[in-house]
Parts: sequence; structure tokens; C-alpha cells
Amino acid sequence: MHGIHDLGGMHGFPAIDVHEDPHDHFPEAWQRPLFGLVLAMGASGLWTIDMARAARETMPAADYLASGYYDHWWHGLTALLLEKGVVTRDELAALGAPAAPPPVPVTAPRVLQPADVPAVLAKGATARCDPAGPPAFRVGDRVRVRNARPAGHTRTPRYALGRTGIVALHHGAFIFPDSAVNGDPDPQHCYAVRFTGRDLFGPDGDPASEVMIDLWDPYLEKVDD
Amino acid sequence: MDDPQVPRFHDLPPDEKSARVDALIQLLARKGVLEPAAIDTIVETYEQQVGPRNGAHVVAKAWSDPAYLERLRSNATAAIAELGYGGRQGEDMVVVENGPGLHNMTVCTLCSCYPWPVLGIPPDWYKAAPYRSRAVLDPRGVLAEFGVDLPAEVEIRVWDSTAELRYLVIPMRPAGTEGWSEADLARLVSRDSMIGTAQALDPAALDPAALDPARREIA
Repeated sequence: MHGIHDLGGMHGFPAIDVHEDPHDHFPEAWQRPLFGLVLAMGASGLWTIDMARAARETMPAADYLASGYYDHWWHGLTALLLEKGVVTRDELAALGAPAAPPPVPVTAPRVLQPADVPAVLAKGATARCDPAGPPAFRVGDRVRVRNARPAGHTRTPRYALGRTGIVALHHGAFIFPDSAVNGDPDPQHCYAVRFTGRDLFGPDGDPASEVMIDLWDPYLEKVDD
Repeated sequence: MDDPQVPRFHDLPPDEKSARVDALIQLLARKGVLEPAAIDTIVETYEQQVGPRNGAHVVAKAWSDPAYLERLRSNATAAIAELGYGGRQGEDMVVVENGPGLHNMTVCTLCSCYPWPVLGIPPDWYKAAPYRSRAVLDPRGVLAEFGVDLPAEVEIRVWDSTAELRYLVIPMRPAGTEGWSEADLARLVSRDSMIGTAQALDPAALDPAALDPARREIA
């Protein structure tokens, strides 16, 4: 979906707040435990990073713009917990209420233990995988981003739809988000594609700038020279 | 999706948000899908261990050691792991090098993708709409907001992190740093210079008393 999260190329936002305190990651106290909670639940095996991104993208557009980054995280986390059946709507609505109902028990593939945190964070979870076939494009190919508006999760930025660029780097094969959000890794080759500012934004693009966008095979079509 | 909560979370005052977060943690713990003590360990890891000093170490070594720079170019993930950095949100790294005619800058227009093992938690502005919307459309204007004025002939290359590659900018090594130790060089490498919204610091901006003793004698 090309929702409000897809911000590249838009006008109308205020100046960048460049003067924040670089040592204070959590200006409001609730952001600190929420940050840790989201990462801990991300290691539970109940969902993948693509599912987590897709859940944040379901936040209503007006709410997304009217709220902060960790508000988006709360929305995404609670949407996932509901979607995966980990919590019920009644449980969520009763959070903090004095007479909350007894919790409905569930299980997770993994429960992250404190002793395992360093190793889990240091290992990460690569999305790189073995390719299912050869790459469709080579470095130097002219390619166009397919013009499409899938309702589901996708990673083509709106500002690149229908634009033509040059394949600059072949990264290898990676899990394909549009499929992975539904549980199918569907490995696809991924490239950095170079677009000039003028390719993307016409005469309003910076003539001496270019944008490199990481795009998978299914997002691209060959343009004949 | 309908939000079952009235009022909605983002409209609550901070203390009520704290209560909601705590209640959710307790609920998930009672359900058996969360060990709450892991939360503190995670936060402390990013507050105390994983931050832009890691990336500055990588950059300073790249400036000092041509063989290391070559390894970064051919396999950045492996070269960064040599220094002990890697993992979540840095599983597949790419380094991009600034030069006299080229300035690199990174953004995630779709969310907030960022190389955590080398830079830590992203700054708020990196995750907010003003930077994400304008970095690709008007990179020169964005740099001006950060106080960086590049000559018109310097090309700007913006990397939009739309996939699972994570980019680390290697800023240009400042003039006048010949013979500096890696530790001193690392002090010139700010977080923003590795995002691409700043240059490396001017050596004159450093306090000479804080430099290596050997370096101080030369200074």
C-alpha cells in the first residue's frame, strides 16, 4: 500500500528538528519500556519484520501525522497482537483497568530471556537468502519501476512509480516483502537502482543529485535502449 | 483497523501512556509470551553499548588502513564484524564513500531503516516526516538545514533504504590529520557525518588536551 508512511518527495512538512539531545533517546518515560517491549516481542517468532512494518502502516493517515514515532510503534504492536490472537480486543480495552479479566493464555514460539538478549541482538536475522533463479537484470540495465498500487504491503516508494533508472548494484537475493508479509519468503533478487533528481521530479529535481533505491525484481521492468 | 481504545493511545498524556505500556507488559507476561526482565536488558544494550562510537571506529580504521577499506568495499558486513559490530538492523551492510565531488546521504522514506549496530538508535529527526519527505526531493536544501553548504558542482547521492541493506557513509577525512591515531580520528566522526547530514569535524574543533599525548606534542 502507498499510505501515509510513504513520505518521500512530499511537500508541506516543517523544518527538520536538528537540535535534539543526541543522548536522550526517550524524552518521554513510556517510550523506553515500549522500545524494549517491541524488540522483545519481535524476537518471539510470532511475526516477522515485514509483518511489523505492515502493521504500523495500518495506522490511519491523520493519526500517523498527528503522532510520534513511538505512537506508531504502539499502534503496530497492538495491531499485531490482535491480528495474531495474542491479545483480545477486550483485554486491550481493559488495559490498566482495576478489574481486568483474567488473561486468555497463548503461546509463542520463543520467549526472549534476559541472558539471551546480547546474543540475539548481535546475531540479528538476515533477510538474505538463496536465490530461486537467476537475476532478471544486470548492472547497467535501464529499468522502469512498475506502476502498481497493491493494497497489501510493498516497498516501492510512490515517488519512484513509473520512473526509469539504471541498475547500479546487484545486492543478491532477499526475502520479498510483498510475499513475506503473508508468510512466504519468496526470494527475489534485489538491486540498488540509480535515478537522477530529474528522472524522479522533472525540472524540480536537483540536477546534481541522484537517488539510489533498493528494489526487487518483481518491482521492475526492462526498458529497451 | 478499528482502534478499540477510547481515547486513542496517541492522544493520552505521557503518564497514562506509561500506565498502558506497563499494563501491556504485565498482560503479556501473565500470558507467558514475554519475560519482562528482557526489556531492561535490551534498552541498556542500546543506551550503553551500541551507538555511533562503533561506526566512528569503523570510519577511523577505514581512513587509516587501506587494506581494511578494501575489505569494507568488498564485504562491509564482514569487515565491520572484524571490529565486533553486527546484528540486528545491520545484517547486510554497505559502505558508501564521500569524495571531493560526491556526497552521500542516507534516508528511509518508508519507515526508519538505519544501521543500528554501528549508529545505535536513530535520531528522532531521521524518523520524522520533514527529513523523510525532503531528503530525496531536495537533498541540498536538507543539508543546508543541517548547516552543510556544498559547492554546486558536488554531486549528492541519496540512498533510500527501501530493502534490508543498511548504509554507512564514510565521510571525507579532514585535512591536517596526517599521522593521527585511529582513536583521535574517531573523535572527528560524528553520528550525522555517517548518516550524511554533516561532514567530519574540523580538527581545530577538538580540544588538544583530549588528544593522544603523542599527538599533543605535535599539535
